[in-house]
Amino acid sequence: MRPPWLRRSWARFTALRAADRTPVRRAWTALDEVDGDEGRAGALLRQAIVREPMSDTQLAAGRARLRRDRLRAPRGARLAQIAAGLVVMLVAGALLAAARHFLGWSASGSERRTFPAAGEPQAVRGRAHARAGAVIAAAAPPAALVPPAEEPVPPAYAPARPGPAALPRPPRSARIAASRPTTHARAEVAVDDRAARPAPGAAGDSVEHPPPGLATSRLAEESGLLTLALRKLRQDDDPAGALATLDEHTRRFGAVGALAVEADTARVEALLRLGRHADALARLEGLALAPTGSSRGLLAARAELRAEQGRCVAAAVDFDRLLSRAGEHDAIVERALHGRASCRAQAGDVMGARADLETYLARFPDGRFAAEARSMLHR
Amino acid sequence: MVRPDLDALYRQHAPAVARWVAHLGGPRVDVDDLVHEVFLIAHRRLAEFRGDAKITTWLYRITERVVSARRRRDRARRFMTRLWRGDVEQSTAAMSRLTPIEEVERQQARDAVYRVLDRMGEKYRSLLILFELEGMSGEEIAALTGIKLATIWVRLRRGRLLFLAELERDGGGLR
Repeated sequence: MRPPWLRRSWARFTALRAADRTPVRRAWTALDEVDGDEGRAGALLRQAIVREPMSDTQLAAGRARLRRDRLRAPRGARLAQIAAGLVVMLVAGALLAAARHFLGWSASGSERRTFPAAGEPQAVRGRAHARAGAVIAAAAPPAALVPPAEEPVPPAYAPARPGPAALPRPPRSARIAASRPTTHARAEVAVDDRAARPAPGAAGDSVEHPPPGLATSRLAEESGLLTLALRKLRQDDDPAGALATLDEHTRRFGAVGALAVEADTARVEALLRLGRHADALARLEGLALAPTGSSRGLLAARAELRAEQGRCVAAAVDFDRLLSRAGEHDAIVERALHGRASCRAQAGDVMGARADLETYLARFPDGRFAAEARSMLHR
Repeated sequence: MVRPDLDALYRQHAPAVARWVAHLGGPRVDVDDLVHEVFLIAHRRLAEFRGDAKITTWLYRITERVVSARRRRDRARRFMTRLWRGDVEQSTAAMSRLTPIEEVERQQARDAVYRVLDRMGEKYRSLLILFELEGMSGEEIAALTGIKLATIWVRLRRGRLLFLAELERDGGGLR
């Protein structure tokens, strides 16, 4: 009697052996039906297909990054340099230890700090130390001129110039967030740069700026809070928690924080994830959104939410703005073309809707709405 | 043989490399970073490229090695930290969603597919990805990977059987 695990393994082995060399002509992902094992697997696999993992903008940024980095030493060479440095340090340490042992040298900090007073007998180990002590004793000024080593310095003599320690230290979470090499950390660095640059027209005016350390600490704190919110939203799948963190962000930094746009983006995403579309739209209606940069996504979301509420005229304004910039070819343009076509169709502008659908199919023949667009055009 | 310079190579092949990375690596890899790594390696080794194979084959091999090294490292990190989920995902991913429900469903399906694929051997996994997700034919896969066509059919059939078995073990991917 074979145990169950052996029977299972045997069954699997015989099934694998039965596989022949006949060509497989049709992928499961190309199957129309969703019944049966293969159909279900195909439907599942279709969800995992990624059409354009990098947009044109990302590709252009990648090309620039590559141009910059190709002259740098390869990572292996850098590791070799670090390893060589460590070996040198170890060898030097070993040599020093050997010298201490055999020649009686002392590298102890406490011994070096204890200055012998003139004429005082010295407790020294070894001949070398005794010689050094004698030289120091001969060169030292009379004991009366040397202040006692342990005498406390009165506060009046303390340096008046504020050192870095006088500035508040950012909280630990913010420091971790600022040093973490994630995509968000990179975004934060970009924001940091932006914040560090003077605003146009502000140069040379009499506005007092906070000390740079203080501004960095505030920014680090803000970015720490935002990172926490994003982690709750995207990693812990906790949009409600993310909203609470974003409320805390608003309470502390208001709507004028350096990362206010990023916080708004995260808030809208959290509201959408909670199904609170009306709240998300209300939030978006209060924002001045440009069809460029990080606002594009918010503008697209607002247009879709307006369309969802049947406000096609207002939605079409946003879609028009998104499509007004030539040369962009990404998921947002895809959504905008599809959304505007739907709006135009609802408004009875059949020619306009057809034109949008044709443009869509020309630009995104394998897009997520391609099948729907084809069926609408053939209707 | 005329060797392309790095810029031309990137312009011509970066979209395909990005797709390979996204498909071979699954939902938790940083596509930008890995594409960058692939082209840096390609830049360093361009002088060694003799032109025996097609440039796409050569690039695919680099991509496969880079992705599998990253997956090994991520697996080790997950094992160490006991974290199932990786770093905070790219913020741009959030912007491509039409509705949150669609996006969540899609993410769950992707997770399920890669949970199953990650339990399969590398040789079955990559062929299944090229055939099913990249939509390549057996002949195209043979040209890209340099594997014999007959071997591809056998591995593809075995890979499909394994995929179905693992999918069933996973509860039909709906866990």
